[in-house]
Amino acid sequence: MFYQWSKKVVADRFEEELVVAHLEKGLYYSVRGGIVELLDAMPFDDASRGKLEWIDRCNPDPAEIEQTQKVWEMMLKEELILEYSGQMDRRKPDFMLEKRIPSELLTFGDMQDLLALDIIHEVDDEGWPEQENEESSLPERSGSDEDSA
Amino acid sequence: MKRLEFDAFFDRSLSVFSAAESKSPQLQILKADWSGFRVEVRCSCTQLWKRIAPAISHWAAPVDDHAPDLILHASSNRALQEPLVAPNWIGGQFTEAGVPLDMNGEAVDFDLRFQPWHKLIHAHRDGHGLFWVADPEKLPWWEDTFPFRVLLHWGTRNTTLQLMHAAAVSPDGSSSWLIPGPSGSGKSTTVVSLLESGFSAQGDDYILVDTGENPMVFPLYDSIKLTWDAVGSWFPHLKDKLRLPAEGAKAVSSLTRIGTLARKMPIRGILIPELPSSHEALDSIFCEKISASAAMLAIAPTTLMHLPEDRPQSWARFRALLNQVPTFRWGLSSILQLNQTRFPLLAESKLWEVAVIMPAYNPGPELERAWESLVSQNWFNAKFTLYLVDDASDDGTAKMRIAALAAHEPERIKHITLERNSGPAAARNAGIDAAQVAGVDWIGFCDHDDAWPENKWLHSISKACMDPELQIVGGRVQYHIVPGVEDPIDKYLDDERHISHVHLGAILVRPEVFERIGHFDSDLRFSEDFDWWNRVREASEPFIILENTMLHYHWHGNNSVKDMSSKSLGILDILSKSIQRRRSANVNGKPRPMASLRDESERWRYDVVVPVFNGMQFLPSLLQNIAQQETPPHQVIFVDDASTDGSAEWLKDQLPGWFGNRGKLITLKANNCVAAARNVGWRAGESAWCAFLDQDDMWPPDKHSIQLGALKADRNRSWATTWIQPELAEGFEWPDNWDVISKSPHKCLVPSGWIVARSALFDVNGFNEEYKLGDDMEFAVRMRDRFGEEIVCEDVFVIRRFGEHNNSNRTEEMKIELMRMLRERIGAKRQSK
Repeated sequence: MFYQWSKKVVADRFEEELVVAHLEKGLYYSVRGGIVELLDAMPFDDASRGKLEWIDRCNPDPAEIEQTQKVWEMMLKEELILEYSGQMDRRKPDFMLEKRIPSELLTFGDMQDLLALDIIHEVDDEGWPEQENEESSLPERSGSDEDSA
Repeated sequence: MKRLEFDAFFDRSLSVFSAAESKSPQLQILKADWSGFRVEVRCSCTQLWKRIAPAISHWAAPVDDHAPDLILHASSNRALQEPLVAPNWIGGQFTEAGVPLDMNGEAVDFDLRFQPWHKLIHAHRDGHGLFWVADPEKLPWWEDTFPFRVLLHWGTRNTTLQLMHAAAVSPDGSSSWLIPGPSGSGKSTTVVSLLESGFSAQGDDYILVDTGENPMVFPLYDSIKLTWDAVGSWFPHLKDKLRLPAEGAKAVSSLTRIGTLARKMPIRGILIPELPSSHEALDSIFCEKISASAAMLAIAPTTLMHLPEDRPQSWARFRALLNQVPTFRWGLSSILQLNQTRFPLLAESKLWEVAVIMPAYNPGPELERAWESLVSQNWFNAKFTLYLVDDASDDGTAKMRIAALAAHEPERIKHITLERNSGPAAARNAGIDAAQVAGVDWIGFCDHDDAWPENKWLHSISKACMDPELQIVGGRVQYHIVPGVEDPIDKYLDDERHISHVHLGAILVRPEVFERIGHFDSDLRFSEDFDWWNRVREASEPFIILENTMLHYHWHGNNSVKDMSSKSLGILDILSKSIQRRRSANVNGKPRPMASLRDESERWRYDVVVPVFNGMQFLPSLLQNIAQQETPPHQVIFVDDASTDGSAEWLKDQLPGWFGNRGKLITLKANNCVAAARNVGWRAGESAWCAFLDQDDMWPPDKHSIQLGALKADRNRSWATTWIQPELAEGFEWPDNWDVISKSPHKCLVPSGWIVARSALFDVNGFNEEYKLGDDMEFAVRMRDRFGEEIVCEDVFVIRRFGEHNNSNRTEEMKIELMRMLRERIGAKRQSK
């Protein structure tokens, strides 16, 4: 068993902030503080050991540990992190905060209908709309080709 | 009637009225100020006041204490100490209109209506008006809807004010059209239909007009009358808001029950409505100017017939008005929605310049379809130019296609070619730059494989004229899926494949918006629309998403992006940037909330959440109470917190009958607390708003109509509350240690009065389940910190029942929780410093 991001979630770190989007619920989250360091170590099979390793690596104070624990539990409750069966390769975390701030999870519901719909525009790799077909169906136009050069 | 006799009658009667007023403990006084003409009503009869007050209680009091120009004394035999003595009629003379004359042939301000079933007198002299009714119970029903009409007409004779038999409706909240017309002209039907669609009105039947130098219209009577035929044909859904005051009477209601009663406004002009004799014929010609003399014949007769006194003066005032405001004949459509769309555009002379920006890279043949949709658009009072921006197409056929189109319509197409391929964002930006140089009024977008619906412009500009502050008008997107191709959308808004999303083709934007919030981010190849909309919402740019279809979006199934993760599409990067911007802009360091992008029908839907624990004694009346809401909820969600009295079983049996598939029951396995139940409830909902109702409280039927109306008027607010009317259970004595103030009506600080934006609930993470009793107060504090004060709807009273069952009984425990909450707040503030 191991803890990992839910498959319904996408997450990315921007400087010291993690932005997480739950594509099924349509909610998105801002995650900051020591919890980001802990999450950087995922997947881990034992949450307690993961936390101990984080404490060892990043040296948070007791208040921060308590707050980080609370945020971890909130993230489990929000189903952002799930326990999966099987085994997974551990990875070596390499992120550390430059300045210690309390762990925080902010939830945003102001794009719920947009994110949950997961609209993908029908575009190519460059962002342009895909065409219906290649055959021309334009009527004859007056004017020569030179006019349009 | 001899003048002396009238004077004697008046002196005696005024004395009787004044005596009643000085002795009456229930004397009602109401004041009004119309262009400096001050009126004061003094009513000494409670029963009479109940009849007439609803139509006039909105009169705006003067800001100073100057003596009134006209005092209206109202009473009946129930309140007067002695009966009125009738004047001597013998030998009296009257005009053809029934106006009594004195011996010199001058009209006397005396109006007597004696019928076997009611008696009513109006009398006026020297700034005093008397309104006497023998028995208020027998006052004809129509008198409730326009009380003091005759007295006001007399009393204003030496001013520029004129009562007018007409309606007045504002298309834009800053000036009003007068809409005169006799019964059967379609006036009231039109007013009700316009009120329902969001326009405000000063009146339906009688208005007060200042015909002086700056013509103004005042809201005189908050009443509306409809024939029952009209109700049956057009407004069956309004039956609950209408009453039948007497047998054979019309359907009566108030403007405020159906829509918004407007304040005083300048007069824009006069619209003479004309019902269509032929729907097709009048469909296209709906507004033409008419001469002042033709207008006079349309507007004067009914008023002069109803108010026959001082006809020459009335006539002169009408003429003065017509010399100052234009008059039009308005051909009404039999389709009410068409009248609603056209109303803001009537007599509009402005010619709008619209730029439609179409970025193109190797476009296919659907380019022609896109162009045709623009050409066939109903361009009411507008001229459009297509800015066709070629993003360095490198396919020969596509290049020829673009060139051919541009050459075909050089007057209407500006062809811009970018030197190197830069992406759709950059292409749109180039179009925006060119459009801004051209000084257009509106900018729209249309990708070369999309199409505009026929009336997109008409609906958009109508809404923009109705609400001139709007900067962006959008609407729904309709998906068209090529047969055989998998549908990319899991959940549409309806069966016609509509969604509301960020598609730029669905909006029209004022060019200044791009100056304020910037262009599209050309570093983004995907989701630049998503990013732009975030910036729009962060900046609180006023926008609206209508329910109308504003874009036809074609899906071919050739999409290489479908498998790309949201990460690759840059969604997370865009969200991160938005969070950062909002965090920087906010004082307490938390990102500010953003306005919803849902369309107008979705944006104002609400769910009801009712936490239940052993509530059998309340449940039957509770279901009925919720079902009686004038604005019905989208979902009604009961959360049973492990009741042991059969509540859950009863609800399971009863809910479908009351609410069909809108009713939902969630049963919790173990009893926790009301906060937990509320959280389960709102999370199970889906509407943009959530209202909470405790099982022992009751709502008035108009709670949500009023609260949603207030939130619509102030779209940046996230929650609203009401007032509370406490109701003590039988035998329950108010404990000594309870706050006495709570025994009287007061502002509601409990969930039963609230309606809260769902996005706000997510933001604050709902109710704190560590608080068993004071979770509501703790929630309110966090909401105020985050979203500011709630809107307080003072006219709405939630009935809060107090009894032994109440948690308020557990005051000591609540105090402990209060102390805890305060301690936590202090700790949080200390940390944030």
